[in-house]
Order: sequence, then C-alpha cells, then structure tokens
Amino acid sequence: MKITFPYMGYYAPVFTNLFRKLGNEVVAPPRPSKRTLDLGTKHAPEFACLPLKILLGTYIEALEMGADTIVSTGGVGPCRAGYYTRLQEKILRSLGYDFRMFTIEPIKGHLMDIVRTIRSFVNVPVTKLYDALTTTWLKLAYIDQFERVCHHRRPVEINRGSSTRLLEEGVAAIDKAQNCKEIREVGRAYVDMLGKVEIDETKNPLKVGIIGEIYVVLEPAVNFEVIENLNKMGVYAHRSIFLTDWTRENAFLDALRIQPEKQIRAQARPYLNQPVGGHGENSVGETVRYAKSGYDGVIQLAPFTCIPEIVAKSILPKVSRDLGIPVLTLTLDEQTGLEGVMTRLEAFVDLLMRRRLRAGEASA
Amino acid sequence: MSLVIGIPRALHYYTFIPLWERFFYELGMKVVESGPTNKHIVDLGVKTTVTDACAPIKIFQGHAEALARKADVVFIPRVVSFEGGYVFCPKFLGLPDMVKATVDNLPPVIDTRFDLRRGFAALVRALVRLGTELGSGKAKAFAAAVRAIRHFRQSGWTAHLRREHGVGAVGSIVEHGVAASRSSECGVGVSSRSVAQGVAIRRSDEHGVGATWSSVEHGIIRRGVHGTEQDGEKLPVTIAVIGYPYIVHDPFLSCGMLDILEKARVRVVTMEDVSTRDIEAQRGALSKQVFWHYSNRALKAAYHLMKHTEIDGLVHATAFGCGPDAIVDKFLEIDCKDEYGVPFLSLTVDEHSGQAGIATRLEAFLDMILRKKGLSAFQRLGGPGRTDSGLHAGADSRLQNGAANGLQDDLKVPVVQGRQVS
Ligand code: SF4
Ligand code: SF4
Repeated sequence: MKITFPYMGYYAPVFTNLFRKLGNEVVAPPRPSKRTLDLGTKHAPEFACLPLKILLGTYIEALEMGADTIVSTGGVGPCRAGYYTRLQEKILRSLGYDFRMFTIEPIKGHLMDIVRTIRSFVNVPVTKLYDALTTTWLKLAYIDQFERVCHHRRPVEINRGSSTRLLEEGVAAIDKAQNCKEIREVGRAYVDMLGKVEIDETKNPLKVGIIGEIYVVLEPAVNFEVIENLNKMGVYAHRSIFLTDWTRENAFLDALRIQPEKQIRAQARPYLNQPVGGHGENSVGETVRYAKSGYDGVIQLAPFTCIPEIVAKSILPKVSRDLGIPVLTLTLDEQTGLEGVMTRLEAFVDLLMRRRLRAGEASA
Repeated sequence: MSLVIGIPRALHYYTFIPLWERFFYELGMKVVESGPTNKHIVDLGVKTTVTDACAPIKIFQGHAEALARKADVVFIPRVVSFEGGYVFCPKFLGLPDMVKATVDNLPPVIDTRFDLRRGFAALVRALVRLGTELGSGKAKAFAAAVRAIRHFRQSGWTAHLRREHGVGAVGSIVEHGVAASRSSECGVGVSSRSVAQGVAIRRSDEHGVGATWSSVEHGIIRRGVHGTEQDGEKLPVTIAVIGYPYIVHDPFLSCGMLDILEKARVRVVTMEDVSTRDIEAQRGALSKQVFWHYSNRALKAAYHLMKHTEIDGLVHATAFGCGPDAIVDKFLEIDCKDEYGVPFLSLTVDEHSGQAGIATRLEAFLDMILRKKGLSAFQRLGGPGRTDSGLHAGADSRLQNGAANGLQDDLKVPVVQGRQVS
C-alpha cells in the first residue's frame, strides 16, 4: 500500500512522517505547481472550486508516481468539501486509475467511525499508534507556533529574510525530531530564536487580518504567498486559521460537544445568523473581530465559485461600512496571476496607509 | 387593512408557494408576488449581487427588490432543510442575510427558519412562529399552519415530493393559474383567492393539446408529457431535462428550454415527474448521499429515469457558477457515458444567455438523437406542414443535408452508443 494525501503547506512532511510511522509506504505529494493546477483544471468540472482542482491534480501526480491509496477528509455539508472525495474518486476512476480511497469523515460524536477508517491504514500496534499521533500533533502545533511568531517578526525585521530562513530551518528540524522530548526541545529553541530576530522597534506596521476558505488560506502555493508578500511590504498579517486549532475545534472538541467557535459565531450573528458551511460564518465573524480589535484592514481569500465565501462576500461590504474597516476580496482561480494579485495588494496597502495618515492628522 | 406579504418568485418559491400562500391566506393576509422573471428584475438583481454569485441568486435579489413599496413585509424564509439528512445549498441558508446586507429600502424582511432535520413538528412550530411574528394569535396561527400543511401535502408537496405519474401537461407556463391571476405594470400582482382555494384550471395551448394545471402547482411547475399525445400518436423522442425547479421552470432563466423542446415535438420529463419513493429507491447508486436537497433529487431522479424509463437523451440545465452542480454535472456526465449510454448535454445558463444559443445546442442534440434512432426530420416534425413548429429555419436544412460535422463540438460528451427505444 502506497499512501498519498492532500498537500498542505509546511504540514506536508509531518503527514508523510505520520503515515510512515504507521507502517505504510508513502508517496509524498508534490508541492502544487502549474502542472498540478493544469491537470486538475483539465479533469475537474469547470465550476469546481480551486481546492478541488488542486487536490485532483495532486492526486493524479501522486498516482503517476506510484501511489495506490489516497487518504483525505470528508464532511457532512453543507459545503462541497464533504463530497470532494467521491467526486475525485469518480473522476479518477473514469480516467482509468486504479487505487483505494479512504475518507476520514468527521461525523459528530461518532469517534469510532473515524477510528475504524484510520485502522485500515494502521499497520502497527496501538501503543505505537498513540505515539505516532501525539508526535504528529506536537509537530503541527510547533509549526503553527513558528509561523505565528514569524508573521509577527517578518514585517519589521532588520535583516530581510532572516525570519523566513529560521522558519524553514525550524520546520526541517522538527521534521527530523523523533520523539516528543526532541520535538519539544527543537520547538522551544526555534520559537525562542524566531522571537529574537532583530526587528526595528520604532515601526508600527499596518495590521491586516487574513480570512477565507481554509485551503487557500493555509496553502501558500495557491494563495500567492499572500502573507509573506504582505510582510515584505512591511505589513503585519494575522492568519485567522491554523491547522492545530482547526482540527481541534472540528474533529475532537466537536465530538465532546465543546464549541470554542461560539464567540466567532456570536460576532457574526448580526450579519449572518446561520452556519453556511466552510468558513463562511467565520469570515464574517472574524471581520467583525478584526474591526473591533483595531486592525487596519481585512483580506478575504475566496476560491472562485466557493459557496460559503460568496455568501460572506455578499455580506462583508455591509460589515465594512458599519464598522469602518476596508475589506479586499481576492477571488482565486486557475486564471489568477501573481502580477494581478500583487497590484491589488499594493493598492490595498496604499489605501490603508492613507487612511491611517488621515486618522493620525485628524487626532493630532 | 390586512397585511400585505411580498413573496419573491424565485428559488424555493417554485416548491413551497402552495404552503406559504395558503398559510397567509388562512391568516387573512394578502400575498403579493413579484411577477415572472423579466429583464427589469434581472437588472435589479445584478446591481445588488456580487459578480460571482449564481444567476438564480441574482434573480432572487431582483425579485425581492421589485417588491419594495409593494408589500408591507417581504417574506424571505431561511429554508435550511425539509427532509432529515438533506440541507439546501449554503446560498439558501444565507439568503435573508445576503438580501438584508445588500438591498436597501426593503420593507422589513421576515426570515423564519425552516429546519426540519429534527422532525416534522418543526414545520408547525416554524409556521406558528411566523404567524405570531406577523401579529396573529397563537391558536389562529396553529390552525392556519395545520390547514396549510394539509393543503401542501395534498397538493404542492405531493406534486413536489410524492408526485404520481400519469398526468400530462403541455404548453406555455401560465402565471399562477392564468385568468384568475393578475398582472400589473411591473409584473407584480396579487394572487387570487381561487388559486389559493384550489380551483383547477384547464387550458389548451396553441397545438390544441389538453393541459392541466392543478391549483396545486399554480401552473408554475409543468408536468412532463406522459403516454401518447398529439393526435393520438406517440411522440418519437423523450428527453429528460434535469435541473433545479427555479432554473428549469423559470422560462426567462432557462431561455424557454422546455418550450423549445416541446415545440419540436419532444416528450419532456423533469425531475418533478419522479416520485420521492422512486428517488429514494436510488440511494444505492451513490456511495455517499449527496446532502443538498435539490441536488440529491436531481441526481437520483436522473438515475431513476435512465434505469426505469426509456429516455433518448438527458439535458442537464445548470446555472453558471453553481457550486453543487459542479458535482451533479460531473456525475451525470460520467454516468450517462460510462454507465447508461444515454446521450448527455449540459446546458449552462446565466442572466445573459440568449435563447438562440440554447436553441441551437438543443437542436444539434436532437439531430444527433434522431439520427441514432434512424428517424427523419419529417417524422419528428409530424409530417409536412409542421415544419414551422418552433425550430430555427437553419436546423432543418442542416438535418436534410445530414451534416453532422461540428456536432460533436456542441456536445459535452461525444456519445458512442445510445440506447435504442424499441
Ligand atoms: S469552502 Fe469553498 S472552496 Fe472549500 S470546499 Fe467549500 S465551496 Fe469549495
Ligand atoms: S444550488 Fe446552485 S444555482 Fe442554486 S443557489 Fe446554490 S449555487 Fe445557486
């Protein structure tokens, strides 16, 4: 059995490691490239959302590289993600590929179902399984932590590129670490080092919140490295989604009926009083939160035809008007180009800058 | 003065109007609905919606805005689920919020939530809540709810969810029971009592074919033509037009697809012609149930029609940028080709689609089906003298020349072998 799975930013090596630890051969999914997108676009329906196209392309590439098993997550709606794997399976089979597909369905309260699915690709004793899961969890948590710190330092670093370099080193080191103890040591060391990256204390960078659909928010290869690019313009970008809190909130705590997302829901309620799947409700709620905590602007990353983000996008102008926070929506599809994105980002940053200056003059 | 409730004629309207209307009628309120979709309504909708919203949503917002100043309140229910396990498209779920955030100067919006996932009693509760919100007493609202639901079950709901086969209807869509209805300068009118009270209206279309609109359907959803029609002869070709009711049965949005086909003497069936029992019998066709209400019905209705009835082709009518349909369309495309060998045509419409383009593609599709069945144009058109029945002039010459070239480009899937109807 040669397993492959969706590629997702810095997390990919961690999952490769996990499946290896569980006693499987792994075909590490390649980082999404132009070819990935072309393959996906060619075989996916025209109005499928970008994440589906990228993942389909990734699977084709991995199958070509010899993978025979695909592991992915499902869902119960109302968004399309819940039906992704069935569609992908259908398309891949009609293309003549032979493979097995496992879908981990995050069904509320049915932890046993998840366990059963997972068991089918676990070829090690339970003690080892526990170990594999905890180390994976820790690794993910530290990678998230690195990124958080890096996002803070990068906009104001004195030596350009120093935080990015440390971040990448850190991810590589974490990947090599074998057990919890090592991970903690490496993790702490890098969090520390990242925290000490030399910065220009006098700068007060613009603050922007990044909201939108989870895949395009998390995957720099498809969002044109929007955070890094903003950082390079000297703007602090706060990413609203991280995998470690996402997984916890949805798969684990949901099963225990704890809802840490309640607050976001409450913020969204005056504007959108209904979960609409994906991150639609979060996008609205988080915009309200960013506005209230003094952010200069919000950037929404929405795949073209993404249903929940279209709902959010329709509502955001009102939030923006009511709370006085500019919102830029970047709609991403296979035709989006780096140049266009950069132009829009620069214009948006300009606008925020002017707003801030005006506000400063007014209060002076 | 009784309260005037405005109901936009779009999206869930096509399924639930018998329920809403009867309920408001029982409460002694007046219902005003926006008229059939027209250019003006579309323009209104396009102005207030984001560009990548699907056409049905744009049109809905246009209908909502057309009701401004015509009604005391606008009824935009949040229809979450009507059957356990199935929810509506996320855009339905956020619909009242989207409208409120983007359409200015609307009268108050009533956005009662209908979520029947936890059982049927929720429908009664929701209606009672709706009634009291509009100022009627609890007991009165309850009685109205019970009556409206009964009416809906016997009629609308039966039509939609448990429809039986066998009743045929052909012809242009009448608004809401034609004569009994209304029309005013903006296409907005007050629906009649006779409709609400259940008066069936019989009519004939220009071909002299008997048509029935039961009060139930208010003439909104057309039933398919079953059995023999037209001078007692069997129509040679049957085509299933699969798509959400608010696309297929909105002649403006669907560019008159059904009319075009029927005028070409094609027997048309839609997903509303398949009973819920038949739909649910197709569960096994999918490894996981599609969780959207209409998509689930569309897909399974198509499977039913392909497996258990004789159809010569399947047309999927879908809206540009529709999220769920990206999945439905691909499933139909692959299964029509690999599984059932039924010719398949995907027709994408949006607010700018022209009737000519749709007609051309339907024609090409028909031509291909006819050739496969070995039928001539004359047979299709019912002999000389019928050649004017709605087809483009160009179509016939193309058919007589037997020019098949370029046809494959028009079809999304080149179909190798189709089923022959004996
Ligand atoms: S949230 Fe949007 S992008 Fe993600 S699966 Fe749903 S529709 Fe697609
Ligand atoms: S199902 Fe498709 S057409 Fe209908 S509202 Fe949703 S996206 Fe629009």
